Amino acid sequence: MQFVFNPKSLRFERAGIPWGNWLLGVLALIAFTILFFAGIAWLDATVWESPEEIALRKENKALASYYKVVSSELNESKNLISAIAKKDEALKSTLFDAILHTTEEAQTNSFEPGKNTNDITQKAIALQQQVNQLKEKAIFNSVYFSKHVHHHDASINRKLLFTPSIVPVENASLASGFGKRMHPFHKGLYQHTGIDLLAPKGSAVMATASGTVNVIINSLEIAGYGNYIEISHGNGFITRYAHLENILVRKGQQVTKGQTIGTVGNTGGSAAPHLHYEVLLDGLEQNPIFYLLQGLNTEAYEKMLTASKKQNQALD
Amino acid sequence: MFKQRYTYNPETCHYEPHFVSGKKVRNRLMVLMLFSFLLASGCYYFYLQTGEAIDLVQLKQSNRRLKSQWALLQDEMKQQKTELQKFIAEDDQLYRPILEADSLAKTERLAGVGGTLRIPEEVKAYPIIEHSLANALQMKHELTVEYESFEQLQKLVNTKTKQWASRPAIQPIDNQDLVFLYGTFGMRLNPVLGIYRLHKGLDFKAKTGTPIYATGDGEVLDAYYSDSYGNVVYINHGFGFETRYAHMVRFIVNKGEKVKRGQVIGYVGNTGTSAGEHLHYEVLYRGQHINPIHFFQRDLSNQEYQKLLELAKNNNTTLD
Repeated sequence: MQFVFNPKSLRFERAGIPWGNWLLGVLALIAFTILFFAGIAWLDATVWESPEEIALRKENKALASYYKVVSSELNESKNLISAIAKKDEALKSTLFDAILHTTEEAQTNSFEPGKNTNDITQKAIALQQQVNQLKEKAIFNSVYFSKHVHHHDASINRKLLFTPSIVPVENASLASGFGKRMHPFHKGLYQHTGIDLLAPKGSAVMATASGTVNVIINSLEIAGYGNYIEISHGNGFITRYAHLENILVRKGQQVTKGQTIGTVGNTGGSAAPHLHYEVLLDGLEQNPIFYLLQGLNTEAYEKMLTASKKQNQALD
Repeated sequence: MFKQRYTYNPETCHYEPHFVSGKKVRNRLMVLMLFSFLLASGCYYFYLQTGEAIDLVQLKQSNRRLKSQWALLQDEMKQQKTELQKFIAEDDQLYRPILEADSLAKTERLAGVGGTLRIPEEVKAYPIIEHSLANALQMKHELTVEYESFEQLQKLVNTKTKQWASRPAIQPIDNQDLVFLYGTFGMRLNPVLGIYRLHKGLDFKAKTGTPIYATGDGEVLDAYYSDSYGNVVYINHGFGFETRYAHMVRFIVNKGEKVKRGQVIGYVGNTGTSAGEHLHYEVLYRGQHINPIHFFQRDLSNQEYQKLLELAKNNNTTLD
């Protein structure tokens, strides 16, 4: 019990605990509570470890240290990849793209008439290019529509049977197209009269249309076409298959479209195992890329078309 | 603010100034602290029920961060895997078939890995580390094998390009200088009887002094005067090919000299048993005479031929 002296009444009067004391007490309590809370949290964070924390800490440590190990391995792998990519590029350029002159030069070479500043010649060339573009467009469309149409008309079907219209080797990639190409041996430009289809030795070569085997040459020569088949399909169509490993048909034999007639080889004047495929119409060499319509989707055809335009090194 | 306080002392019957002893203060403080400690503990306990210890939060955060980094590593690894598969596919399906080499067997590619990967025991508990490390090590191994394979391919290609450069592939006489080409190769007529000794090559009629070009890279096997061939040069091209150039007025290469395709080796003449100025040109493959006509059947244009000769003149580099 506390008292306060009241100077007016000159008496000691009872007094409660002043609000200031209360405030001080409560503030102190809150302050100490916060301090203790922080202290406990700090202790928990630094000294006390729950099993979960121990496991996590261990895992994190392992994750961090092995991250370095694995990423250094990956870095080494990355270096290896870029080294291989470099080699890959070098190999590709030697094997397929080896172009002695620059592409532009080669192209101007292939359009030699254009060098004459003759109007008519230039117009003719422009026209020719337009025709070629139209032809390509037409082929695209025919690829698209042939899927939907060619089953319906029996007579078209029959005509198609005797028109070269498939890729003679399955899963082959086109290594070199028709036209002025670089010779693998003397590196000069020459007229490449067919397309080169790249496939492993021994891959089956199919007749691209039904017809009669016209010519068979089993040649031991290490120049020219090597082992070689020529098939006559009627309607002026002739196809030639060169550098074969084995010939599986006889002269005069009737063959059907898709029939295996031989295997891919490296005979004759060939730089690597491949099929050199030619299509002739009325005695004139045609660009066989326009006769590979069936069994290819648009994408695969487009890929072949692009590859066939590259003025690179041929394989024979 | 604070007025002087008094307490009533019953013994002295006086109001005495209020005085708080140090002991009392201490006791009060202790009680206060005890209370606050209990309060703090209670609060922390409730905090743990709803939230997590700060370090656990931090640990979980860094764990998440680390795992996202590992995810990036795994993405990178996936990318590398596709690269590797691209290389393997090219190796197996493109280069090996072209170079007529057998593809690497799967066992060869995986040799040295498999069960004996250097995976430490301590990471076995963490599948993410174990798998990634195993994959990374295996990938590096496979890439190393692939790199070696590409080195091998490079060697094969070098041989191949050398082979291509060595093969007789052009006409020994420039078309502009050629007067007439006699297709006198007799092998096709009588391949069995052996009388093709007389017609073992082709005859290029050209004026005396017309330059004769080596038709492929090679080494001069011999260059001498013989009664029958006159001044003759033998070039060994390697890979089974040999060419012979006869009846020259003179040759300008010596035995053992290396020649490039398109290099002038001599000049047309009428020496030896020759009935007129011409070049007698022979191509042999593995010791057998073959018709040289096949080695330039798809001929170059004059312009191209000149370009080739120009290149041969300037080109001193070798392919290996």
